[in-house]
Amino acid sequence: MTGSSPAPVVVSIPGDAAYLHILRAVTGAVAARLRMPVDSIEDLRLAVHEAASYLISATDGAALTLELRATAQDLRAVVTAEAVVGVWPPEGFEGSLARTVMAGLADSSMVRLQGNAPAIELRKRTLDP
Amino acid sequence: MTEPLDDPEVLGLFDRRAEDPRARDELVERFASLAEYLARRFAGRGEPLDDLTQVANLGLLSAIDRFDPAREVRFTTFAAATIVGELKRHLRDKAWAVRVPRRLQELGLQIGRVIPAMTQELGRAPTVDEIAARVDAPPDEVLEAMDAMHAYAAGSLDAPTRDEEVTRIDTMGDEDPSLELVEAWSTVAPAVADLPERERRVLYLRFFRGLTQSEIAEDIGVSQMHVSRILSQTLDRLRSAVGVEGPPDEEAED
Repeated sequence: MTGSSPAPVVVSIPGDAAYLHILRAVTGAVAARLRMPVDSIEDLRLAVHEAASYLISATDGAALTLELRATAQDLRAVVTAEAVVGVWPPEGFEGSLARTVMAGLADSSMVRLQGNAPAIELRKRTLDP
Repeated sequence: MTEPLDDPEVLGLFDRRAEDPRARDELVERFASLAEYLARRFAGRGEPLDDLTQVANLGLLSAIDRFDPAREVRFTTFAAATIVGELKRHLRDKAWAVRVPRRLQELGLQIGRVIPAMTQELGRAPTVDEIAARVDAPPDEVLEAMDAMHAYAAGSLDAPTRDEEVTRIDTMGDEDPSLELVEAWSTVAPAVADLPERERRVLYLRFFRGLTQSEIAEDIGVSQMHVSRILSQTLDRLRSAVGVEGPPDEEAED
């Protein structure tokens, strides 16, 4: 992979835990193409799984889209649910297991709205060039 | 934390089990329904129920022989963990033999061996490309083999730790530096208190001490891929305990 910002990889799945392995596999494949040590790859996979699980639960099973975009410093994974929510993040998110796990595994994790859709962005550093 | 102990009659049978075969037989009879129940829970995965029941019964026998009434754990708790471990290992070994091509099995084992050495050399975990160069295989195949090994390690949660005779249930209740984790996570994931010591330790080292998976692997004496799997399964377990979606995976008995 050369160039500073290649086009992102985007994949969508139904909002069902049975499909989460697809997001883990794609995350692993993209991270492996960057200069990322294997334990960082596994951390990011787990964090993506956590974010996706949380979104499925918070939206009662809305379909999810994962976008993976490489920058010069990191790999950014944005998981977005195809849903409209009243309050995002929901009450209790700050003290949740999902928040704790994502914060521990990713170098940064942010909860935000992507348009009107609830989304979670995770970043994991790649190796210094 | 302390569970109610077994009734005195059962404890008496345990006291006599070594010298009195009838006591052992009676224990088998009393708890056979537990083995049958657990075997049925694992049915429908392509293995005949008779085979599963046989595996579960062997697990029960092993539990009866190894149970230490002095530990404050009920026998059914101890036996369920042992039997589920045997059933998972049985299914995993079958699945591994059937599903994973030999080429990937061998490559996976080779990768498991080179990662620790490369981590030492590089001062960090290697990348997939670096592993591929070392084992002389395409990066895609390395990833595929790592995933296969990941699946292989799944059942090993219940496998003996470094000391072959000491399974995870045996390591519970001893000195536990990860109690800090239990306290801190008591609100986000109360089920953390029910985790076996090794799983708690992995969480503690990753989330409190900030160790990498490779460093944790060295600390607890398993491969980095295995640590990753332990983390993944443990988080699934905690997640389902707080009512958030996890993958449709079997859960150990509580």
